[in-house]
Amino acid sequence: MLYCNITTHVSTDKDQELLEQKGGDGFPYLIFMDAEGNVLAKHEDQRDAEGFARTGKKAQAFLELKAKAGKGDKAALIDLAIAQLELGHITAEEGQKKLAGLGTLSKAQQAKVDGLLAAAEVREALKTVTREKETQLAAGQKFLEMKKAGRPAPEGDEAQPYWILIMNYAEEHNDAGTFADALKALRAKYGDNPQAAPFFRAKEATLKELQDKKK
Amino acid sequence: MRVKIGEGMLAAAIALGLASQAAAQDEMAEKRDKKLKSEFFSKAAWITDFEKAREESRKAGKPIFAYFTRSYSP
Repeated sequence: MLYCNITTHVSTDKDQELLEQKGGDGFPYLIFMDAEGNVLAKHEDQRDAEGFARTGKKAQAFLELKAKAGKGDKAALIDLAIAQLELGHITAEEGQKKLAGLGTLSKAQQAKVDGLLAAAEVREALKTVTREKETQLAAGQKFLEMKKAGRPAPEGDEAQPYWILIMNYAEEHNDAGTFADALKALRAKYGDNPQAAPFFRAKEATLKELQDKKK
Repeated sequence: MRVKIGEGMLAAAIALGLASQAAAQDEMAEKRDKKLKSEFFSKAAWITDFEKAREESRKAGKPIFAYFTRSYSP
């Protein structure tokens, strides 16, 4: 079943909030959903027939996992809670509650859950960020505190604002070390993008200023 | 010096604002219609009504493959 949702900015058009409701924040956004509108898989593969088929298989695998968990399989229940957390079916809080009653997670499962919970917290904090500098600095401070507490940095779409807001906060507080760390992390993730070159040049200059101030 | 906006001026400003908003909406609707007429939509049976897509999905017992795009810019 092929469904196309067009964000039109026409105030009377239907389903203009659907992109956000289904976890999208940019275009194009491609997902598989069930008839209830639950997201079964997000397409992050290449955009061709083979790539779409692979994501379709992921959607099928999610449905099979759900069926297995429905029969009380404990391992499937853990995997299902993690998958639901990843797909945004349940909140971080609900995920924690579900997993708490399912026994000890493996190291790999725990690492995945930690990453998902941290990303969910970053997403929540980003909702409070506006054009006002204070809101940006507050989020940057929160992210730096999370980082210092050993929480994993987000890997998905949240990574860019996460590191940039930490840099803004570090710049405001003349913290060259933190600024350099965040810049390094951003460069590792986006350094290959030619469109980001001017951004990195500007930030290297800022870093030099911060380091010179320190001397 | 403080500038006080008189009632007449305020009404005119509101009317102008509403007119420009309506024009912007017309322009957006035009862009949407252009997108819907594009070659992409003629190549497959895309459903643009979410409720209808869900209904069809239920009837066919098949999942929905959803493509989110925009019409207001390329």
